[in-house]
Amino acid sequence: MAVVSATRSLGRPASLVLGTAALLAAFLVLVPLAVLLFSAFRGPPDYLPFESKAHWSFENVAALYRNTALLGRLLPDTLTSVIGTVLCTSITAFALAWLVERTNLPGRRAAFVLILFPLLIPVNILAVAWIYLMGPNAGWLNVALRGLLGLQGGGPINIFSMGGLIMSQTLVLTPYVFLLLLATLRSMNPAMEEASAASGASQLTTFRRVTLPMLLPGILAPVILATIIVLEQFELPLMIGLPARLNIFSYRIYYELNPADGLPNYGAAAAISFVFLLAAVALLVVYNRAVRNADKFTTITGKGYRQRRLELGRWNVPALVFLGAYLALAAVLPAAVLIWTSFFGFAVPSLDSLPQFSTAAYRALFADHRFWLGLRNTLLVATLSAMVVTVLGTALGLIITRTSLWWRGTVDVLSFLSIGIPSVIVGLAVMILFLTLPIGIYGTVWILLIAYSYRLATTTRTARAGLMQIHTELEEASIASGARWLTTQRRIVLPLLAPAMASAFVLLFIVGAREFTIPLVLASDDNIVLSVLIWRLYQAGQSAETAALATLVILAVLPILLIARGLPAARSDMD
Amino acid sequence: MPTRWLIAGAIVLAAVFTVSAEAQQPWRESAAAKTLYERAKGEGTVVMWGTNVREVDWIPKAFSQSFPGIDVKVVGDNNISTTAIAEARAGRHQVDVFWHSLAGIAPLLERDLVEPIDWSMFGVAADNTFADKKLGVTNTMVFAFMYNTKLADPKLLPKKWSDVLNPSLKDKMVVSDFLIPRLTGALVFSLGHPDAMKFARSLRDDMGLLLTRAPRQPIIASGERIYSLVELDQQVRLWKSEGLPVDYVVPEPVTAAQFVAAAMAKAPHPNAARLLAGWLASEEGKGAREQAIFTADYRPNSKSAIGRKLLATGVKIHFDDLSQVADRNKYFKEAGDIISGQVR
Repeated sequence: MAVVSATRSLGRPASLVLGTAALLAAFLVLVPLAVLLFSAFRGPPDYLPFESKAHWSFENVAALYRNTALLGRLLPDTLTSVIGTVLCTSITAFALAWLVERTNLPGRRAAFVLILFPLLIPVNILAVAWIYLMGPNAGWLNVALRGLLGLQGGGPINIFSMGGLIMSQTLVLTPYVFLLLLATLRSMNPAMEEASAASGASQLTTFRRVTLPMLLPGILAPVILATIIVLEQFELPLMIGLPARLNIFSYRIYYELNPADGLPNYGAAAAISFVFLLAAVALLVVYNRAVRNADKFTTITGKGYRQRRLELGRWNVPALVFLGAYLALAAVLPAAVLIWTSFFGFAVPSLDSLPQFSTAAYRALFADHRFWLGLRNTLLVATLSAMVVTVLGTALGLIITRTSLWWRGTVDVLSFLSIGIPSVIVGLAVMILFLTLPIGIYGTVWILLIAYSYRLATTTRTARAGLMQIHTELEEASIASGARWLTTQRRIVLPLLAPAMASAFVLLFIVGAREFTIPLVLASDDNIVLSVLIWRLYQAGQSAETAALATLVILAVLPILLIARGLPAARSDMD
Repeated sequence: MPTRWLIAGAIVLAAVFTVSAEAQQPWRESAAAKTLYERAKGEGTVVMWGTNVREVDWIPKAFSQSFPGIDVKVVGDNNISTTAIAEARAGRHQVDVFWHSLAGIAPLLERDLVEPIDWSMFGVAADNTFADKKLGVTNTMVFAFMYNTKLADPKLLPKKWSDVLNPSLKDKMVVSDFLIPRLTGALVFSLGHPDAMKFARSLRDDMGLLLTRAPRQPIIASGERIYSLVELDQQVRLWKSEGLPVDYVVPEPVTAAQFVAAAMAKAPHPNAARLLAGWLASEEGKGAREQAIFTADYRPNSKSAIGRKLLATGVKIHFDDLSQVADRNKYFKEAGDIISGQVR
């Protein structure tokens, strides 16, 4: 593969663009990383790491890792949860992405939107919905199943178990992986599959020996991202794992940051976060080794192609049952719980409850100025941060795959490390930084934009995977025709990369729209976002208002999904 | 008969007189209070932080009825202590009035971030203040045992906290992972350390608790669990008022947390800060709080109707105070570690 061999070959404008992007990325990631490292070695716990009475200490690290009783439970529980979740998520997401993108499954356009549904709802709200549905004693599904099967006692489903935790984490993670896999599947040239079929291979053999190996980098990236996300994710271990007495690393971080009284123990939380960083680095090494010979993954060349959809035939019914089961658990039933709660509060669904119908929760929200301010801020920050990160991630992807700059490896590691830094540490780092700097953005919506924009791993991975599928012969032809490097990237590479980056934008927008940890840490009167309002209503036990607001958030974000579905690449492939 | 009528009439007159005297709130008529209000109005705004949306949301409307012309902005969130300390260190100040539990406000006291107020201006007695007049008590909350009124077995309702270890309650209780360490830690002061921690281990090992950070009321209302091991009494009254089929009992030893208001030392609106903090701790503010969100005051000199009801039973109430904060925090942590399984 031909890459630009030196900065001089890039030309001054390209060097300026890529250099600025790298510097910005370094700023966005290194500041929280520095605070993480700094905090891990500051004590005692009753002082914040930056206070004058705090001092250097190894106590945070030592306290965690000498607790053998804790580690004896923490490691097995965490490993089981992560391996189980990543395995289930990978299978589910790949199956869904393949059905939607590569087959003639009926209703696949609607399925595309519904599959992404769990992304729209804050995870804690989803957890409550699943507890309503699958609580062992009074869960609606359990009550229905017991009635149908004539069972007595509790169950048969128990959400408060390792199985329940893996299932709920799978349902939450699947849309992320699905969205990223979709881009990979969409960019794949079917020529090699067609050649395999023409050589007499069965569909299964073609899938196993041609499709899967070809998709390896595009599959590995989301799987690795899923692993890190599930390691960091704390709401489900808190709400579903804790009642089952499952001890997960991320809960431990939460535990240190939410003491019964006193100040959060940022030092201990940072010490635990080292595990994430180590995991991120280890996974990056695995990924880089797996995709070392990038040429063999190239599927987009200078030759035109059109994807062929697989006829499902008699497999239509099992495929629809699989899709239906996923959608029921991930979208339809939680949405039904949310909508019901927003109108009926705590009333159990029954005809007797109908007189309790009320729109009071919605009226209260519409009368609350924080709702309108939060809506404006949410849309603004989610859109702008998704744009910033998409542009930066694309530039980093270009640096990593399309240049031979000596520091491109550092950029790669840096961008990937961003996912190993817990949001709360990012929030704290940005807060400290902008409280100290004489720049008047603390307390404004702009500080959120900066804090949100550290999540470079997703887009960099997506861009990198996408770029590895685009053969450099196109660029070579362009450069041979006299175009400069930057012009070639702008007119040849970026349009080909657009579907993947559009998916990444949508994903980042949604992540931004429901992000609550960072805005919670940086909250002021003026920069409130809807996720913070949801969280505060939820913490205050205002279930009807919480459900109403979550429903409204879905309605606000839904158009973005519909737009995503209507993107040229998506449309042509789904038609 | 006439004597009885006379006595009844005298009681009614006395009650009317008391109510109207309270309604007049003479402290607001003092020159100092009027001056403070005028200055506060000049500042135009006051920013208040509390621990929870519901604890602060009612304040702008209620305060403006007494003191129109001052815009009250409220933030309800658990991380307010960290933010206040970080802002103060950087010389930025957004918050005027801070509302928290005694334990929650202790880190701010330690850093001299709150200032003394002349609470007497607001009719607040000296024994209703803490930390050299830096803190004024606004309310107290007792730990209560909540139950679903439609599904609960009255025989299982505990009279003492140790009764919650009744095997008949196994697998029937939900508990907040935030409140249970507080209850257990507070019980150290009445039961002693060994018994309180043994209580925590028994809860964890024997009772099949549904330990959660999620709101308990939907879990109780739906029947997923029938009892909530520990709630703050005020929360239950609030949920009950919203039509939930719940009620509570207060087991012994009765332990109470005290909540306080304080004006920040570097408040951007210092006069409005003093006025709002003072009003919150005044009888008028306490009454408005009780009316809005059913919060009571259980201190011995309480005028709260709900508070007096509990006090009339003669039960002994163990209040927290500032001298216990460090020990309490240590016990909270220890109990939390046990119940959430962070230690054996």
